[in-house]
Amino acid sequence: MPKSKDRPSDDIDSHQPASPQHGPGDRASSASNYQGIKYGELVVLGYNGHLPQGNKGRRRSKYVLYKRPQANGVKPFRKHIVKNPHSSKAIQDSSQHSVTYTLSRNQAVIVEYKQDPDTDMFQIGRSSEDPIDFVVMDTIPGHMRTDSDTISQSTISRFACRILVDRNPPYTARIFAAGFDSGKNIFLGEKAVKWYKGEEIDGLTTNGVFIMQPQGGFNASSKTGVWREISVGGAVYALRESRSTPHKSNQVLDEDNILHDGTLIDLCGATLLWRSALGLITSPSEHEFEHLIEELNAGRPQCPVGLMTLVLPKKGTLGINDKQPFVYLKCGHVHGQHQWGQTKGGGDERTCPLCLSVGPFVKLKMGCELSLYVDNEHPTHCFSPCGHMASEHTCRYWAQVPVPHGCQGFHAICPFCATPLDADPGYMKLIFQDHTD
Amino acid sequence: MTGLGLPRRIIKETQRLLAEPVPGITARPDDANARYFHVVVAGPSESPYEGGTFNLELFLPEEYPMSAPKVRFMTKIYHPNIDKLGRICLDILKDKWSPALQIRTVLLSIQALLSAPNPDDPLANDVAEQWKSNEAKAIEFARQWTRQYAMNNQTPQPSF
Repeated sequence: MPKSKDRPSDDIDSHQPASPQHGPGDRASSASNYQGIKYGELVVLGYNGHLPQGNKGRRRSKYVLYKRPQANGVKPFRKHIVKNPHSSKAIQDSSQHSVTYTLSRNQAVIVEYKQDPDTDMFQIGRSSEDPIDFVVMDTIPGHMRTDSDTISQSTISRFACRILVDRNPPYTARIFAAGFDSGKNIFLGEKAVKWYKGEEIDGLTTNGVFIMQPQGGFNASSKTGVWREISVGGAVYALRESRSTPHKSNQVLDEDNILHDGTLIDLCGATLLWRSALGLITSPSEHEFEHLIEELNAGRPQCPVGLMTLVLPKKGTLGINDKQPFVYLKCGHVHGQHQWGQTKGGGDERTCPLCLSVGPFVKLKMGCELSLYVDNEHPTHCFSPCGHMASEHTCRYWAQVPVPHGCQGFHAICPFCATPLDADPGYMKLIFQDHTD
Repeated sequence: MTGLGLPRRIIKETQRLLAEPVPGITARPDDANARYFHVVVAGPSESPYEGGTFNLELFLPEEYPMSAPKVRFMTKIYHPNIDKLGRICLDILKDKWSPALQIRTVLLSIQALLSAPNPDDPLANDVAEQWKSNEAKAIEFARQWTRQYAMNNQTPQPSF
């Protein structure tokens, strides 16, 4: 993690007003639709259209990257070795971007960055300080959420990563570990993983920035890819032995840090999906999606017990209780709410009236964050155990994607609520009693 | 009996039973009690009950559909799974009941039971014994009873 995390930030903040390329005023216009050019979207996995407490300002479940009125990207320019980095000009100059690699107590390499008129920069992290465009907090899985969630300890870096997008077509986006702080500095402390060989200087952040490129793009036939780590300089590495092992793995020379439609970005605590503007064309629009749901509802699915017509909700769950669909997760039979088949122990297990198989009975919820869909098909399947509905291929794709959790493991999660999925297959086909009339 | 307080499920089932009756079965709710049905089942062809019409009563208890309907043969019948009081030995009317079953499915199962008596799970022990020791004779008894009790019987039945 950048040393900046532990450093009081006001020691360099007070020197000069921020440069116009990346000042506070910049944000309002970057969030608006400059020249109508949208680069793409970053969607935090685990939310179904908004944060539990709502989307507010830079804290939201999805961030849209628009072309900025003025370029604010930076690129490496020159480097030099200093004895005391904190007194060096590049660091004290708060209009100058720099990355400091601390080699020992009295030696550091400072890489100075200069403005790049051809790229726009977007920064992501836990900090609500000004340089962060998209403030991301640790995601609590859906099944563990309560009304008063507070994160006591976060594993997400305050200045976790930065994305640079070419301002010209095809608007290539590249990701780099670590973000510049309010003083426009990135510090890699003595303990951070870094290497300085010949001309090359680079490093990794404490918990690292991982990416995963799906094989075959982001569509109905895509398959999960291999997770890689991205360095501060944007090079690709195999994952370390564990998340914060202080040794880098081998560089993967035939891969790059370019974000493709469907690339996942893991910040150790939150996982983001990159959807390119072009890729999003294949996702259903709100209107198309409502139409897909209307087509399912036109079959007048019926509860086999109450014989009432069920209604699939367009957003989340339905307010009207006796039309709300539920599913038996063992068999996929869809029912309305009813009191029958509760097992003696009083647990979640219930007996399906249609096939007598015993399993959990859960409320169906519509997966309505459409950027998570790999195709434009009817939401005929649901994730298990949470009951979020999506198209078959969307469920199948996410059920096979291992998403990092904590510092060691990976597991497949529901992209709408981050609940870990049940073992294979983690999703199921919904069986409606419809077209009965 | 008015339909007041009658669950929508029972109303819907009744409407469909009247609009699309099951072949060989009529089920009509009682004028005074919408939970009580007068049922007539025709003896299935190629069974010893062929040609007979069997009266049954079907009652939907308060907990229906969470518990099974109560069904009883009113017409005397010689069958190993139906006793002399007309009680029926059928798993879906007991522990295999599920609220996804309906009046319609219950009546279809009873019709199927007439086509395929199961003497290994008897209710009328003497009939089951006969069925196992001399099936031809048992079938002849069944035909006889059908002629005697289940033909020309479509006047209100005295209960026994």
